[in-house]
Amino acid sequence: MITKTRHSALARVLATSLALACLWLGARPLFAAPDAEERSERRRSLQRIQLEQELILAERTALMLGELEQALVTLREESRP
Amino acid sequence: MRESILTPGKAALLMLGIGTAALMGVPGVGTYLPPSGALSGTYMDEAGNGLENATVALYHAEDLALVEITHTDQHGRFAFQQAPWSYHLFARPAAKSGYLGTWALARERGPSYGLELVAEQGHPVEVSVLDSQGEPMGGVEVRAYRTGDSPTVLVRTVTNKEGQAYLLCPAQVHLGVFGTTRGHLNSWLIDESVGAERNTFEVQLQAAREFSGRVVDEQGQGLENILVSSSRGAEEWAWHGYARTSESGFFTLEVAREEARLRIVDPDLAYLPLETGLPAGSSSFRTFALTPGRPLEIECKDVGNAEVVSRVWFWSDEAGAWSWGGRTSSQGLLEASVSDGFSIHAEAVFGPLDPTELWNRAYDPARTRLELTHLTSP
Repeated sequence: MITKTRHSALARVLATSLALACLWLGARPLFAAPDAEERSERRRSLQRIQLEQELILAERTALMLGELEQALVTLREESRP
Repeated sequence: MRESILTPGKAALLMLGIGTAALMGVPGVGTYLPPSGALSGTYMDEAGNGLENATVALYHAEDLALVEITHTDQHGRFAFQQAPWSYHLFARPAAKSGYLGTWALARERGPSYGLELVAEQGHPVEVSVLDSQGEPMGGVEVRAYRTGDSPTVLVRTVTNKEGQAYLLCPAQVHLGVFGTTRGHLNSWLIDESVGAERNTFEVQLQAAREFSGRVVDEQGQGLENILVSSSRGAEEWAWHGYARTSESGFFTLEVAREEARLRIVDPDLAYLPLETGLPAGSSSFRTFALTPGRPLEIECKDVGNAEVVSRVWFWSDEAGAWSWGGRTSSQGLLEASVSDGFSIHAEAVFGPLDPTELWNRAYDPARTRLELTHLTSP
């Protein structure tokens, strides 16, 4: 009787452990995968944003080039007889 | 009889004087006098040969005002009579030289050593611009960009009546085509490789719709100098340009007629970013309210504990968007603001240092200073 009880308790512990292990193994990708995917998507969007930012930062040089062009036109007009 | 003024002795002395003066202009023979001024330098090619008759422009660093224009002499030397404490320089080689213009940005007046600017060989590029109906578009601005630590526009030109623009470009280039003045979207050719032979690109611009808006804070007060940029789709990403808000927070921007995306960021990093869609046919005016973030100070260092100048972006969980990339001071410090849930990506501006990241942090009011350590790239 005692042996039978011990066996069934052991079986219950083993079954519970197995169930928990399966649950953990099964659930792990559900938590891990989206995180990695999300990070790689965020990095991709960051690359686009970095490029946008560099193009925006370059705008000041476009303004300076424009001013130079204008000044050279004025100088040419002034030097005409 | 009257005595001659020019005696043989005087004539010999005169000849000697004229000869010396003539030789002074020949480098290596006489004393060549380079142009002198408060700020001087040499413009040369990659082999070190001086570039003659190039235009060199000097600008105030702060307000970008043009201070002075000069030209190089036969040895590529130039000099400015004025020298602002902090300045930008642009040197443009003579037409048809085959060289690209050269920028020297954010320089500071130092000891009187000569500046050295080096010109790089350019590659010929032809850009044909068509409108949304496939017809050639004249009068459209085309720019060649170089990005990186100091992003610059190297060339600006305009298409002719046949819709063609000719320009010199570096081997790796971004080309921007600005159709917004003609009711079309801007278009970008990103990371194009060009070779020594003539490279041709055709760009068909899409018709745009004008969109206006206002960016305000939580109290409804207009926010100045906020950047609003417009793009299309995440899958086939295309950027269409940006606008800055006026003093009272207003902006106007050309956006795609189909669904467009707006990205609204504060370059001062006081407010959290905002990204939103503009469906086709939606209202042509909207107000956007930005939320202030929670204060956070960033300190960027290397493994040896030395400060690192970095550009730092903050991801906002709440907004689902990245901020503008703030730049740390020379002490490696940056004051920013973040949302309750945030991530950070930092890239060192100089040196072989790896980017550093912090993911999925929760804001802790008791810890408003974070240290980021850049590892040295192998």
